[in-house]
Amino acid sequence: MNLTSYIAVVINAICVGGVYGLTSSAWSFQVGSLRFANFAYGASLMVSMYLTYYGLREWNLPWAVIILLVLAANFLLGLVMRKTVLNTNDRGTQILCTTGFSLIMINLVTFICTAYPRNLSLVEKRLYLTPDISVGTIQLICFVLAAVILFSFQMYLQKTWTGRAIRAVVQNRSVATLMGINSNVILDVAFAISYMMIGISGIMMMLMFQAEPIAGEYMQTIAFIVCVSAGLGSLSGAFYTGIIVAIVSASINFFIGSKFHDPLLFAIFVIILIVRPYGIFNSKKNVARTL
Amino acid sequence: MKKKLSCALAMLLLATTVAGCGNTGGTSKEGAQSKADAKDSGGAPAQAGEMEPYRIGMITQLTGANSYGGNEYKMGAEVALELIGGEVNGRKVEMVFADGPSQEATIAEYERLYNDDIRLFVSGYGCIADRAIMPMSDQMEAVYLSAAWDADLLQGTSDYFFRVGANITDFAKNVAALSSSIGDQYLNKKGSDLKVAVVYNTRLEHLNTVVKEEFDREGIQIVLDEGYPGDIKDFVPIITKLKDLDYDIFIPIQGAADGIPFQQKMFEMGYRPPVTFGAGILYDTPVFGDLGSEITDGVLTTSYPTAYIAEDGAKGIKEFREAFEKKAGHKPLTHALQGYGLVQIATKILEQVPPEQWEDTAKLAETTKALNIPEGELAWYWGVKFEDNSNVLATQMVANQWVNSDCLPVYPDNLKTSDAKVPWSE
Repeated sequence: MNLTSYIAVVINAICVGGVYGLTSSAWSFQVGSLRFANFAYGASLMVSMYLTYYGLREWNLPWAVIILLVLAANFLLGLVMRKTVLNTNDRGTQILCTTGFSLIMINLVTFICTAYPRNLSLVEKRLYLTPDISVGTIQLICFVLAAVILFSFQMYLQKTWTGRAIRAVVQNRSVATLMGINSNVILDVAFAISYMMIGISGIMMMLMFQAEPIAGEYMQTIAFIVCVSAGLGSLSGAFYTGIIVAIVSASINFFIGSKFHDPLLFAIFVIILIVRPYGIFNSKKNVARTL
Repeated sequence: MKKKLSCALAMLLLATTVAGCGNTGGTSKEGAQSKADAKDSGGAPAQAGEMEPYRIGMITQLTGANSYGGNEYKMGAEVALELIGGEVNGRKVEMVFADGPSQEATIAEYERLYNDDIRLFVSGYGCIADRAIMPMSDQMEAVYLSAAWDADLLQGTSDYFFRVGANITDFAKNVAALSSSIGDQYLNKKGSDLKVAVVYNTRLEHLNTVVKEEFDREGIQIVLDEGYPGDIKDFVPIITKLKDLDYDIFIPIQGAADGIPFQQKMFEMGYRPPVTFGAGILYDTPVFGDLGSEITDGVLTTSYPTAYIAEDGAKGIKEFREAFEKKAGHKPLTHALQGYGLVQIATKILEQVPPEQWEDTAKLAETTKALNIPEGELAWYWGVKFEDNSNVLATQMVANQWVNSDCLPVYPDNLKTSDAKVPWSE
């Protein structure tokens, strides 16, 4: 093992971590800001991956159509979830209902597509920074896109009327309603938009990895670790923490061994919770201010 | 609206619960025996063709994470009956399949099929509940042919449970022995000079443990022993470690879900191990071949006998292969041949007992215990001879090499269709 190899591993991890960050930001927004405990998140991500696969490999659709299809499907899924399983303020009910919904989605996909892993069989070209250090071009593009999308979403929340309305509802729903904002509609739109981010994450994940019905469970775990470590509701924090988690994961795998990945990662997560219970990037308890 | 939805959901739940209660008309063990007694005591035995079809049960993973393997087992079993015309000695034989995506589901289905008077079972893909079924089969007096490879599967004696397939110790011995042969024959390195790097999915830790023990016995150095959890996505750190190491043979022990992306990533990173010797599971399947010859050419694998062993090495292998491809529309995985082999053995048992006595399970069990089928007689090559209920003629593995997206057996001599080329160079 040498330094050059480790640098190569870290650069690769940063690219993967960017996508983890985007994926986790959407969940952080849902759980932290909108206060919807959505445990169908991973399954939704998995469905987006399958839609991408089928669009490209089975239906031979052009990329623009696939992206529109995935975004539209996720927007609709988000709306449907808001009107059904998330049409309650009770967190316990939300957790139960979304978990059940997740099981339905996973088993439906297994039934329709079988459990066989689906791979786009894309051979990724490597961009060589030095003869020994390279980064995958698809991963690099996904990282840049993830950053751009998250930045755009932040700008949307800050600069547009709808974005400001979302922030107002997140800060104080009752007062926002008094100010003439239809809180329920705004929450529906916000949730559906966050689902579109899940869709984009799903497309990126499909480009980098492979789809199987249980693929979302791992990402849900990563999103949970990232969001809670960053601080629920902190979108940029989730992005940076996604990168940190990816680097830590890669370092564990590289230096200690992949067998110890899960126990060590969770141990670090527990330590973060003890030392900074509100998250690394949250200094205050009121997470709405991070928007 | 909410109330209506809740009521509708509750009704649906109730309906599915009632539907799932299964056959309430099922009979007990005594009922099945009384059927056999009635047949025996009622005067002249019925003609074989007039008797009810005899049913063989297979509980396999038709849904869930391993449904592809489970469905291969199912199709292999169906082909086995199709090739004998669906009958043995004039009496019809049918397969009854049940879905066992988890251990609990498998045991539940076993009990359900037993209550439906099925008394001869073959295991399904993964054999996930065979360990639990072992004591049950003796209590319930139902013959069970298991393909499980656990070394300690059989605890004590049994009259009804038989381990028909290979065991993990023989497989691991084979991995070590073949690695040693590759080193000796092709790399001019004797056991203690040979260095291997093992990368495995921790789901297969039980196999790796035995492989490591065998390597230690052979004196082969393990320079990397890297296990990773099944949900890991980023293989760059592991591959980077491999690149930095000095070793002779890379031994991956992986399934399709992780092995395919692993090999793809290695290819993308421009890294090719000196020799790759895949220890079964994935590396002998057409799925691996679909990666393309750029990635697969030269890769060696070891596995149970595949569907592509020499035609004169195993009777009926060609017929199996052709029938399966016609039925399934794709080449058979080794799992399909396993399903086929199990049902073939079940029909061999039935052949040796008069059809009117098939309901006498004790007789079937005795016949199974006394089976003696030489190697090469069955399509899956292995013979059948039980010692302490374990088949001692299921020890031979094969080594294959991928050439132009074909997985060609290269060892042993009686089953090979090609000679190995090591190290591989274009």
